Amino acid sequence: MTDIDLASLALERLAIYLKRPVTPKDLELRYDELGADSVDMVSLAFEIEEAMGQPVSPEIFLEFETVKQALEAVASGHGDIIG
Amino acid sequence: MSRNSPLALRLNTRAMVKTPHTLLDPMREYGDLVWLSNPNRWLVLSRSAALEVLRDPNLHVWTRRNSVERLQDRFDMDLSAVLKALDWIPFMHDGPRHAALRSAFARLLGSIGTDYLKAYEQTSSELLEVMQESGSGDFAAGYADRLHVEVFGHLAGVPPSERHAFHCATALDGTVQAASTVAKMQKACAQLDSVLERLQDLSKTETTSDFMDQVGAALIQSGLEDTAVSRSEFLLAFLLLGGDTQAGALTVGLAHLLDSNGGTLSLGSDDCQLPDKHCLVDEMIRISTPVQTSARYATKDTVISGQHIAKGDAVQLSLQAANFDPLAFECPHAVQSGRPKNVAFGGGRHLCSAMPLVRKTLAITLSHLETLGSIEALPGRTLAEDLTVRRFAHLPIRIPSRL
Ligand code: HEM
Repeated sequence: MTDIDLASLALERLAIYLKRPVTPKDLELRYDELGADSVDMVSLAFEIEEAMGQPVSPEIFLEFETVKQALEAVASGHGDIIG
Repeated sequence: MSRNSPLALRLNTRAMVKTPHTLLDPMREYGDLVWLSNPNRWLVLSRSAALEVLRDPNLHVWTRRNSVERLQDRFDMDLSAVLKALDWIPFMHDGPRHAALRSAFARLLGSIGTDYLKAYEQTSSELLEVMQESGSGDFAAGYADRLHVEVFGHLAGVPPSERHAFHCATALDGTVQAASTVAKMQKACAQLDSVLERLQDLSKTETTSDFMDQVGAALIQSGLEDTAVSRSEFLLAFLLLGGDTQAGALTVGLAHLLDSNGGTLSLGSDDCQLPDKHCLVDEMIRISTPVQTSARYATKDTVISGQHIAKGDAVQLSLQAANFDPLAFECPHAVQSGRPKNVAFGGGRHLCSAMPLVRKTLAITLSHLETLGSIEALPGRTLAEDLTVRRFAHLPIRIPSRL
């Protein structure tokens, strides 16, 4: 899966969790600035993990400045080992 | 520091466990408590502010139940075993449920205290003897990790051959107490279900010890239902609360003593410069501070260390940072006597119910280590993959034979 696919997955899932449209610009925000909470963070990590078939830690969203950066790190295979 | 501070301080949970002081010390210059921009919350860094938070009636504990229920609904999966464990952990509650659980733990720990210590003494000797005979061993996996479950096994009549399985099934690296991955939670649920089933069997069978009667009495006297199910869930919380925490104090504490003595420790020898055993126990607990953080939220506006905390704000205590606060603990990395009380056991209405017992178990371990003569650190240490309780998963040591 490419990072573009990950971004699409994130946009789709976040829109469901947050019950509002989420745009690519929103991915340049921090996770909490989006209005997401820890359950959303755990959920998104799980959905990405399922899609990619590799472990993704929810902490990834705290370790990077923006959701986009976190997704890029996951796409390059660092989802579970950064820190 | 204000809530709208332009500083964007983030909390990297993994770095906080791996290298806590590198992460936390630089934050101290901004105050006793700092506002984190991700996740949005106050982080408490000093001992005095930590004590204020722990004693503030307007700051309540976070309950994880709602989060786990939301995940369960969102993914249509069964996380009920995690929910059961959470229902029995006192610091997941405030109000009447907390009072009842706190009473049940206090009563049980009070009534089994002497037997717990006797079983601990025996288990500790046996496990260290094995290491001594082979001249080396893993102080984490071969000793510290096993004590609480072995002692529980002794008390509850679990056959020795079954205790390892109990240990494996309850070694969950903090998955129940803190946010974890969904996959880990699902795995934990499967393990917890098997433990609950076994604990229910034990609650029903006649055991040679009166441990189960003491469990029943603690529940009834605290106004809780006494059934095989409630006993098993209460005992699950007992197993989860005591294992990793004691292992953290023992492994991180011993590693620190070894490192600060050039890799070799001879407790009890004439040239041993360490404080007396009681101080040493407290210092091992302070320096290890196994439980990394404790979280609260404001039910009303309040003030901590002169800082206004608004209703609804989340406040996270770094017990680790508070216990290395240089204003409270001069040269915080040094093992010294005459320190003020540390906050490794929390404080206020959620102060750890097992604090007196744990102090005694650590003193037993130190006495046993003293009889070994010297201990040397070996390479190969690894920290456990646990973001809630800091401990070594592996701590190899050598025990040179005494000529
Ligand atoms: C070195 C070992 C231990 C440490 C450092 C430790 C630390 C703590 C801390 C920090 C809390 C407060 C959590 C909070 O306020 O959010 C706590 C609560 C608690 N601990 Fe421990 N603990 C240890 C061992 C144990 C053991 C062996 C048991 C018994 C099985 C135990 C039972 C409890 C209980 C029942 C509470 C809840 C108290 C309440 O909420 O009223 N602990 N512990």
